[in-house]
Amino acid sequence: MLAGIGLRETNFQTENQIGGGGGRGVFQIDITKHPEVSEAQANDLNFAADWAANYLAQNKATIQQLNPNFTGQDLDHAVAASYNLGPNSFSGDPSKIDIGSTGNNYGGNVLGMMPAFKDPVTGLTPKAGSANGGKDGC
Amino acid sequence: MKAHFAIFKHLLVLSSVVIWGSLPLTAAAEQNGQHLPFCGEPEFSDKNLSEIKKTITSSVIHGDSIDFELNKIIISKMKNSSNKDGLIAYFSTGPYCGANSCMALILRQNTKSPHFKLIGTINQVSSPIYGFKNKNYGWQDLGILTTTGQAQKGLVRIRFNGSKYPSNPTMIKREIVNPDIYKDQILISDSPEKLHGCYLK
Repeated sequence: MLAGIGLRETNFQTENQIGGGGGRGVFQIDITKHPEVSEAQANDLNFAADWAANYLAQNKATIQQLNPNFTGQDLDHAVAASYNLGPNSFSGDPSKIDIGSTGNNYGGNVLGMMPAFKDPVTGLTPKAGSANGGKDGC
Repeated sequence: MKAHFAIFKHLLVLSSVVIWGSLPLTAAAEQNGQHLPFCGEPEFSDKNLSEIKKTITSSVIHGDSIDFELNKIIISKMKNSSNKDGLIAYFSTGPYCGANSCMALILRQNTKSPHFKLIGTINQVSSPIYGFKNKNYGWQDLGILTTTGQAQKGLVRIRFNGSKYPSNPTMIKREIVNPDIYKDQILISDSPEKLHGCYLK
């Protein structure tokens, strides 16, 4: 999912948002909305990826609590969309998860990219770690 | 069951505080040196502010859990035609924001009472928000800085259509390439270099 988000945000290019916005780095972390992140950290790919992973994990917990009717697939979809919309933006209707997101398709687009990062034989994500549906050291 | 629900709700709010309350307003202000003021007289009466908060709470999903201090909502009056009193409420941080954009609400004040009415929710909003001189149906055109999507990066002009503003600026073709030309038409900004608006507390 992180890889899909990096692609969706910047095509894995480090760039600053134009016109005064605070988005920084591959994961476009807005350093004014997330003041715990410095500009240097947002531009550091390792730090930014860890931050994004933690952010998504926190969002997942919140979304799960607020939308107990979501299936596992709905939850994955909403977690991906939450990187763009925030975790409180879902009404519980799975058909409306992406409404309001960039292009009205953010979460679905990220989910659609995820298979490209899986091993076609095992279906696991290399180096994602077993806890994340992947396998280590591949 | 009810008791469990109450505890759950309390924990949810508490976790929001831990996750989102990176800095209370006052601490954030002290850290930056420069900061937006809290809203108050003479621009907003206490009654106005109370009505604005009530309208916001009833207008957003899961609005009953909004903590106004943690969400750092910035409001600013719009410069519409007479009898079109409107304001923007921008969630500058918190769970109505993604990694790089947030939600804003457009509220209209009732001309004969202190009540406000939601006339639009705008997603994908990032500070600064521009209020252009051009108007449609008496309401200012707004300039929204879109964040993600390679084709849509930049400033998008959104227009009132008589009943609402478009809710997703990323679905609108970008018209304005260089936002700096409009730096004197900013309605809301929490950037220390150019502060506009006030915090709703």
